[in-house]
Parts: sequence; C-alpha cells; structure tokens
Amino acid sequence: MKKLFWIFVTIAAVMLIAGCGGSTAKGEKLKAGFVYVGPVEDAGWTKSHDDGRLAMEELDFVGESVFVESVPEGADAVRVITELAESGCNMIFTTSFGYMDPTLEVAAKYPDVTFLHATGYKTDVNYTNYMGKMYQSKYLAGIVAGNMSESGKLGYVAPFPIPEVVRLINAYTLGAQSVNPDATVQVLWTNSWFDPVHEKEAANTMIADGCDVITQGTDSAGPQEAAEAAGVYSIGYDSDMSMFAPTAHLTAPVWYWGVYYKDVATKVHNGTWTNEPIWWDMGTGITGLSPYSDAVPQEVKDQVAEVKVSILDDDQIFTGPLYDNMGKERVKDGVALTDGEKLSIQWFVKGVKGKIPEAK
Amino acid sequence: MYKIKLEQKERVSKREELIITLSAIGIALVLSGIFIALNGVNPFVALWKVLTSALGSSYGISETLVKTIPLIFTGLAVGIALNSKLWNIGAEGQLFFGATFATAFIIYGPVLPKPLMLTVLVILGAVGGALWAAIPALLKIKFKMNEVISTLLLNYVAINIADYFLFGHWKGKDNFPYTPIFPEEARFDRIGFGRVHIGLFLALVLVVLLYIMLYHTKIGYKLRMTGSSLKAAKYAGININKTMFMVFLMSGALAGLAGVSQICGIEYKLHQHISTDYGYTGIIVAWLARSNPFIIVIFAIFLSILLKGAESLQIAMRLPAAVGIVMQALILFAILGSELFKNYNVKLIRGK
Repeated sequence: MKKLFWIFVTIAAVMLIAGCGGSTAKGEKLKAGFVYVGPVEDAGWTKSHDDGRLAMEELDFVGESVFVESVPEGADAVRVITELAESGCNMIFTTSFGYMDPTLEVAAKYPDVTFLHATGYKTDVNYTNYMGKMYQSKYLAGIVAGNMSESGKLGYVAPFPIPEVVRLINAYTLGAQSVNPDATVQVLWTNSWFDPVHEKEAANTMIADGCDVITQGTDSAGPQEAAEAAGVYSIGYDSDMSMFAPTAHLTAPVWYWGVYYKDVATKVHNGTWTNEPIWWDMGTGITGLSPYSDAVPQEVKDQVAEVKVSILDDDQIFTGPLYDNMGKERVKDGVALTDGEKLSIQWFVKGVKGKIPEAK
Repeated sequence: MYKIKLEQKERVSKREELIITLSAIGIALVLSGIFIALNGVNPFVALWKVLTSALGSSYGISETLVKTIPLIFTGLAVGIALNSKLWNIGAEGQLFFGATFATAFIIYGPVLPKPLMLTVLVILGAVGGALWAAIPALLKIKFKMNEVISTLLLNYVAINIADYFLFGHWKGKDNFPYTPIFPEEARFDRIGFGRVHIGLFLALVLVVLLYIMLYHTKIGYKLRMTGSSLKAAKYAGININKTMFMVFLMSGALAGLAGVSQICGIEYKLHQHISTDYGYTGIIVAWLARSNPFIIVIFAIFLSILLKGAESLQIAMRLPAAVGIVMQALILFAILGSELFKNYNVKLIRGK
C-alpha cells in the first residue's frame, strides 16, 4: 500500500512540473471565439471553419483565438457562448444552424461583442448571419460528376431535409444534368451532420445500387472512404477530402471561410462593421472547387472553368424552366428564383430520387 | 514468477465499499491528469479551472444545477431498476419518448391554465416514458429477452420517432426540425437563480419519495428482495414478474420526466438536442451512487461539474473536447474495475 502511495506522489509531482498554465497574449488585439458543431478534425465543415479561423489569426490586429468543439445545438450552447463572451472575446462565431436562437439570446446581454452566425437568418444590432452561395460550387461539382459517371446514377449522402441541403442537392443535380440530361441523383438521409459510420453505410448502399460517383452534404469523410474501398469516384464536401480517398476523390466544393473572417475582423477593427446579413457569391472566393485529381480530363476542367465564368457573370442556375421530381412545373421558362425563394426551397428538381418529409 | 490470486469475499462493509468507490474516482482523476499533462497543460491548474468554473461564481453554480436536474432524473431512473438488478440502458429513449408524448399535447391539445397544464405535461411525460419502458419489460417477462439489449436498441427507435415528427408534422415554419416555442403556460417557472427551474424541486421531491419507498415500504422491500436474490424473493412469496414490470414502469416514468423537465424547463421546444446523452450519463450516476437516491444527487452534481468543466477547459486551456469524454470514460472504467476489489480479495503470490 505504501508503494502505491509513493507512485501516486511521483505521478503528481511529474504532473506539476510537466505543464505550466497557459498565459494569454497581452495587448489590444481582437479576440475571436468559435463555437463548432463537430470536432475540429472532422475533415469537413468544422475543419473548414477552423482553417478560416487560423487564416484570420494571420492579421496583425487579431490575437490568439479560441474555439469550443462538439457543442450541442440547444440550451448547452447558451452557456458556451456566454462563457466565450465572459472570457473576453470581441467576436463570436457560431457555426451551425442550431445556434441561431442561443446566439441571439446571448447577443442581447453583451452589446459590446459582435456575434456572427453561419447558416441562419436572424439579426440584431450586434448580431448577423453569414453564408456563401455554395450552390454555385455544387453546380460545378455536378458538372464534373455528370462527366465522370458511366451509369448516370449519382449518390448523395445528405444530413437533413432543410432548405440549405435541398438547395445544394438541386444545384448538384442541375450541374450533372447540364452535361448528361438523364443523370439522376439518389439521396439518402442520415439525420445527422456528423456520423462517419452511418454516412459510410449510406454510401455503400448507393454504390451497391449502381451509383458510381458518390458525394455528400454531411461533414465526415465516411462516404469518401466508402467510395475509395469500392473503387468508384467521389466528390468531397466542405474541405478537400482527397487524403481519405486518394484515387476516388475527384474534387470537392469547399469553403474558404478565411476570406470572410478576415473581412469581418478588419471591419470590426476599423469600426465599420454592420449587421447586414451576407450571402456571398463564388466570386468573392468564399467557396470554390478544391484541386482536381489526375482522373479528371482536361476538357472537363476547361468546361467547368467556362461555366464558372458564365455563373460569375450571370447566375442562371435556378432559372426556369424547372420541374420538381414529381413532374410538376415549379419555375416557368425564363423566370429566375429570387434569393428568398432559393433560401427557403423545399422541393427537389427533376432527377433527384428522394423525398422531403411534408409539414402539416 | 508472481501470480494473482482472487478470493471471493464473504461480505463487504459499507465503509469498505465507499473507500473502494472513492479510490476508483481518485485513480480515474490521476489518470485523467496524466492525459491532460500529455496535452501540455498543468493538470492541477486544469482541475482548479474545472472547479472554479462550476462552483466559483453564482452563474457557474446555477449552470451546474441546470445540468444536474436531468441527471438526477435519469440517475433515479437507472438506479431504481438497479435496485432490482435490472439494467435500464434505455433512459435516453424513454426521455425522448416522454418528451415527444408531452409535446404532442402541447401541439394538439388545448392551452390550459398554467398549474393544470404543467400537471398534465408532467403526467404525460411520465406515462410516455413508462410506456416505452413497458416494451422491454414485457419482452423480458414473456420471452426472457435480455433487457440490456432491448432497452439500448429501443433508444434509437424512440429518437427516430421524435425525428419523424420533427422533420414532418411538427417542423418549424422555416422548414427546420424543431417545434414552435412552447406557450408560457407550458414552461416551468425559474426559481430566480440563473436558468435553474422548478424541475429541480420536482427531482428532489422524487429523491425523498423514492428513498422512503425503497427503504420504508413493503413495495420497496419486494423491489430490493428481487434484486438481491430471485430465489429468496420467490420463497418469500413475491410475484417476481409483477415486481419487475412495476420497476420498469417506474424507471421509464422517471426518465420520461427528465424529458419533460428538459423541454418545459430549459429548451421550451422539442428538437433533436434536448438531451446531451443524459440517459447514458445517468447510468454512471446510478452506478457510482450504488442506486441510493440521496447519493445519486451528489454524483449527478459531480458529473455535471465534469461535463461543464470540459467546456471551460476548451476555452481557458485550449484542450480538445475529447478530454471531457476521456475523463468520463476513465471514471466509468475505474468504477467497473473496482468491482473486482469489492467482491474479491486480490492477492499477489509468489509462484514457481
């Protein structure tokens, strides 16, 4: 028993010496706090925000930032956001839809702090929302998929039937159909943003069903690994996922949040920040395609480059005639969906094999 | 060569049991400390941070209590079943089913005066949880199905039922998966201390009632008897099946109350994240507390401090979220490991 005691004492002593409490940087630099829905190493959505956070830290008036990962999207988030505000953050970024109301609640109590919420739609004097037009990059990815697929059957592992996800699936489908009018997109829901096992299973199910290009709206690299193992092509999402599927991964529509985060930090620093919500175009660089793999032929790359220019010039992705997947005409010839209609879209375009649960 | 020899113990005193449990927690904390040190943070500073963030301010204490409330309910739910040596791994599902049950009334039913409304909701939540627990109970009694597996798997079913409504009939006007905010009549009052709500009183009243029931009534005696020896219980003329069924219903009802307490006490709506694994953490709480209702309160607070502390460690020490999960796992691991020392004398003997 005595021996045991001394072992503990030694361990305790080692621990005391091992780490020295972290001290924070001094000075009047801006401090940013981030609330993440998944782990930083999710290789997808959260990773893309963390890359943006690090890019923002490069600005000389921005100090060391702090993040909290895997925060539940409910009452727990209120506490985390409050603690970030209490710890002296000047800007707090909350990066998942479920943080919309919790952030709004905390923002009212800390008027000197700027709160920014990704993917939502609410605002307050010191609170706004931000997003990028990812559907444009998804459309380009669809062109790649439509070209590379032999069966014309594409698989899409999707998280939730919410407007943002529906919009991206539609854009991807329209992109694929622009080069192969018969292309179809099979959708399987996982009902979770981050669930590597479930996502992988969903991908495998679609591969077994004949889908030969797999992509995803979820955050883990599970679908990529499934495609790599099965020897079919894949298109990543959020971040470059090629390291998980070196041969399968063709490209990925990705987020470059650093572009926006640097902009916000600069404006907050200069005192020119406003609470106007933003939904940035691909042209700002907030979204784009990650580097292609060698499997993508030059003519496909050229085609994508050409379409990209035309989208930047005049975005006609959601311009009629558009039919939903039940055959009903949704957008008349020559009519374009407004931004508001795009943001609330709740129907699939023709060629999407999947169902959106009906509200009452 | 050394050999490890195990000798079954005759009987363990309460004192010995307590010492073993506390040393298991101690060992888990030391191991967590090593893990934290490996991340380049002084574990004593980290421990201090965990304690001060949870108990160092009135805000911290109030938030710790907010997280403690559901853990008392689920701890009691798992604990009451454990008293009869029944494993209810399904508190998470019962929590969701109870919450869904109560939400259905809020959505389809009339808005009643507040005291009546809350009474109805609390009863419905308990009934919902009990109904969900009745399934594994019947499976066990009729078909001898192991309740560990059936309760665990039914969790996923219950969560999917909630999802079915959240993504379908009950989804928000903005097409996102949550119900409308509940009317004022359907919300628990706050007690004037941060976000702490009257669910805390409900939980504490139940702690006392369950203690009295377990140790001072005939039903409690039957219950504990079923747990200590089936043969003896049968010999004493106790209807085992009936007792087990009743235990399951009570267990489910308590977990269902955790659900109501979450949606009416703090979230004010049903959505996918009303529980951060409270049903599963309740298992650790009940096990650590040896199913004693009063001690369950203590360990519910303990785990709440730990869960909350993991967030503060990320903010103050930049430690990854995984640290909190690892700490919880180490504690459970150490406690389960300590069972060996509780039931056996472990001797190191010199062999040939």
